[in-house]
Amino acid sequence: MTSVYSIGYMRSHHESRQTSYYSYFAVALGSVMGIAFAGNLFTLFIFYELLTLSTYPLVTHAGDDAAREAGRMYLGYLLGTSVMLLLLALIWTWSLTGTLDFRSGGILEGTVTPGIASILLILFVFGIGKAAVMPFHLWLPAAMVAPTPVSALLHAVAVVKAGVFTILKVAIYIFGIDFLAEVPATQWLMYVAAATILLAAIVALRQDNLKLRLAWSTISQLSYIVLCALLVTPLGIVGGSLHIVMHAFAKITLFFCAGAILITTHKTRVSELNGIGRRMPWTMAAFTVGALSMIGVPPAAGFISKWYILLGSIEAGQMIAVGVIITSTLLNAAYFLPIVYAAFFRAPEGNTGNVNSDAHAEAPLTVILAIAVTATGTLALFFVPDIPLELAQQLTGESK
Amino acid sequence: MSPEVTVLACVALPLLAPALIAALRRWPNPREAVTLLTSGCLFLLVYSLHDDVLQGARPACEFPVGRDFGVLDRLHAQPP
Repeated sequence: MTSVYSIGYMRSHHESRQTSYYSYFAVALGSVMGIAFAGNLFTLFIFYELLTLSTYPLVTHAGDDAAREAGRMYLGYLLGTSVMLLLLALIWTWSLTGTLDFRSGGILEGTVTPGIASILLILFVFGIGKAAVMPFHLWLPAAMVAPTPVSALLHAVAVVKAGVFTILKVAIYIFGIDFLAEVPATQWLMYVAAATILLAAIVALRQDNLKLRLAWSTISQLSYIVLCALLVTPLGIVGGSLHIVMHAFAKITLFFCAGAILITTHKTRVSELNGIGRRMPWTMAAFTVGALSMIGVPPAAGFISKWYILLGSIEAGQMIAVGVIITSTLLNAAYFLPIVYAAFFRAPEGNTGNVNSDAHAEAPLTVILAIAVTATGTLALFFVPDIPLELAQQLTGESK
Repeated sequence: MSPEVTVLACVALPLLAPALIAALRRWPNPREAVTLLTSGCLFLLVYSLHDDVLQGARPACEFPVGRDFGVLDRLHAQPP
């Protein structure tokens, strides 16, 4: 869908170097496939780095000083954390166990003490910078200088999901859920994830730039998945795995809408969106669906994953996690619902009764088509969550 | 197509597509058709794995590492 959207966006926005854009975009997709299908941690690491390198030219696509500065930060954070922390964790794990294969039940149990496992877990969680756990999160808002389809690819699907997917894989197939529960650092890192959820949501609340608000929201939502991995309960793992899919559909819809608003009205600020629902009803209807999913309101897909995350927190007896998720949900509502309200119920600024200011003016067809498909998917996954749910339950052997 | 071959195709297809995209740089419509075709094929390839995975298959791609060089065998060798 990002490919379809990209064509409409890149043409409407008259972007330069489109061949280079589509080439790196394809390489990024191949890297994501490599991460998804990696049979061991070494293979995953290779594709993880390839993904960083292939998305760097996409972040710096504009070619101006701001883009180059953002690119430096992007490479600095992602390569720095992975080379200094993740690679160290890989080599240490390999020397301790003699393998980096993903195995049910993990490979570390019985070979390392809980103390060493704690250090390894810290290296893995902070070394996987793409998961954007604080304090290694600033690359994500910085990368907002990229074209909107890239932001959608980075912040909704490919890059950030590669990070949290890797954390889930490490928790399940390197540590093993039973062993992870015995590791002392698990609890401490869970609090770091909980703090990231709340702090990022508070920062999102204060952002007037729409893409920046979405980026900070992503940092918050990614830590839901990290928190789920560290709850070390079957329902938590199911909730985290589901949230990868549900958040992807909702957030890509929101980014697509932000891009559609940009190419149609050249507006980037939340404070400029009064009455925009009258001009772009389809786009803002899709935005509303995405926002409801991010909050976790039925009938949107986000409700399903948040429900499992809450159940997992209760199963783990982590009332702090329950409190954080409920508070975060309220913050989600506080930074998304005013946008929806302003779009549909406030008069456009400078509206002097000229009918043209209320005239429909949607983005090009390919853009609207992509938005419609992802928004429909966000709704459909609430009613028919079978495929992601079955796949998530396979991870833990959890039966329906 | 076996799941292993499908996985290989999933990884290789988007990594090979840029060559064709670059070759068609002067013709935007065919270039973007290649992009769409790659994405569409990728979706179908991944979807075709769905049934196998639900039945317990774990198709994967791997780089051989470590043990193939005998390094870890020596490192973990027990004294006689």
